[in-house]
Amino acid sequence: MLLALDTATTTASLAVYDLTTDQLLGEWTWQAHRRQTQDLLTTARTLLAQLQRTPQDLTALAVTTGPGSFTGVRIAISVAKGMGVGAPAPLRVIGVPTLAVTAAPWLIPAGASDPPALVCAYIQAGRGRYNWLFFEPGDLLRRPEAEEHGFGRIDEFMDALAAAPLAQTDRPLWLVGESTAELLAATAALPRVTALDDVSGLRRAGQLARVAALHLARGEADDLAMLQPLYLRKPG
Amino acid sequence: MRILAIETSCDETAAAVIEDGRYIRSNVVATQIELHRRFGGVFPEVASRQHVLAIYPVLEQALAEAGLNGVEGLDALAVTVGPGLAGSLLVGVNAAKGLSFASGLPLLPVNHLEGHIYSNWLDANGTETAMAGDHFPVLVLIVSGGHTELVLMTGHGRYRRLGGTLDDAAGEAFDKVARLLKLGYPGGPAVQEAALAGDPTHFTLPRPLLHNRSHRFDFSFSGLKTAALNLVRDLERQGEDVDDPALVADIAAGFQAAAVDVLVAKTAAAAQSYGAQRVCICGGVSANQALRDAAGRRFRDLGLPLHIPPLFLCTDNAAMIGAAAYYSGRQRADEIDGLALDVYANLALPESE
Repeated sequence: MLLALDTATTTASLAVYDLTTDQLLGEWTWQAHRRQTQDLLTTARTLLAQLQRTPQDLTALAVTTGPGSFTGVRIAISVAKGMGVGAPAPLRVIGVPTLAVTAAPWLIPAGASDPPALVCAYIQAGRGRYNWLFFEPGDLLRRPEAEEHGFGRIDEFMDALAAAPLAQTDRPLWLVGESTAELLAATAALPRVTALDDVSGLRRAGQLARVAALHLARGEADDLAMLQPLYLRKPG
Repeated sequence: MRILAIETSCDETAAAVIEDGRYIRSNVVATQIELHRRFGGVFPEVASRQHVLAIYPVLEQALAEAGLNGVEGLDALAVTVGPGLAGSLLVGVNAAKGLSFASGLPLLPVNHLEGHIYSNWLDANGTETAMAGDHFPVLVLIVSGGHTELVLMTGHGRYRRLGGTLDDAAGEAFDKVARLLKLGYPGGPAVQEAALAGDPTHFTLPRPLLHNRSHRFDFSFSGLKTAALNLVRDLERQGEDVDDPALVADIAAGFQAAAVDVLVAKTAAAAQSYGAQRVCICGGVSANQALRDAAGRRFRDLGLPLHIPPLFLCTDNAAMIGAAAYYSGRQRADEIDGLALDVYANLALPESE
């Protein structure tokens, strides 16, 4: 059984996933704001109790590694490290970059679209800036490095959209993330760009668990001792 | 009772296993001094990043050095919840919660200042400085880079704050004066080292609030730091070479003597006013040899037993957090939901009256 934890932004999410039956058993996504530290594991305890399971049933963990709030990303990673030390048996862990989780639910539909859509997942990076990353339909297991991510203001983001592979083709481009009024206004007039609504674009730990389960099934696992956030900026 | 304690409030990632609040079974501290040296002080985001990297191996090492197989044989967990840097505290607190969640062990929140106080109760391989028995009231001076507080302790976990710094902490003044004199970081050991070769009477720096009746047990180190700054400026104007090691040594010695004088005088006055049975000095600055020597002389003269932890327990460590969790008595495991804890950057010492 796997526990997926995501505290990369003010939206917190956690999920419990049965690795034997490949089934999402439960999921909780909420606006935690500054209460992530207080609410993450009390919520996990409640969810496990509802599923009639205990923390000792867990064999694996998944966390988002960023981008996102530095502090937020460190919350789930620190919890995972503590769990790794405290668990009765070794826990396997998978860290998944935040935007790979945001894009995950849209990759199969993107591949089924004709021509296939390109998915651009984005996240607000604070001070009016964004991080973004393009995903092809076959990128479900892609775990991008920090330097692959785009970073900039809305105009730089829009320039990146204009320069994206769709500029040369007639492929649609789907924008996925938690939007801003500024972003919706900027993209409304762009041809072939569809901004998904905020609920559909929500990052959910169920998707994190799904992606992590696929990695684990391929025999991949990260070193919990060395696991750290994906930092897109130097400190300060 | 065996407690695994975690401390990440500033720039040390630390974990320790403490038995019965007193016996150190392991005490691991991963320091970040080298990382912060180029900033001349603790850079919060750098500290948080390093805590995330260090916390897992530090926890594993603390368990291994205590001869434990994982968390088997532990009775509880303890973690510093404040005061300190929020981003740093969050790493320790969330790791502690993960440990508690996965193991089912209760998790006790500890105030970092209370941790420093209880560093005096730790038995560091039979050192005579450890507090033996309970002889309250105890007068405590907590003196570090972030705090300068005089506290009357009337029982375990019972505190009355008598006074504290009105501006900079003593350790902060050492850091700033070290920077002024280009002595490097961290400032405490650097000033102490420079002062060894200096004449503390060459320059007489002010003893702020020493005889101030309305601030009898308060401190002000900002003014002392400014006095050192003005002294250097005056010397420069007089054409002196303020990089001359002999001059730097005299300024460092003069500053240290002033700081130590005030700390010892106010601690002694408070101990006498409140009929203290014991005096404890703790916190990072209590590692300063001049302070240890001066306090030793003063309290010997007064006939008051003085306790100062051995050097390795003066700076931040998790052993003291384990001791505080055990002794403070306020934190009953069955009354606390460890998983619901938060961090408190500005947490004050709890007062009982």
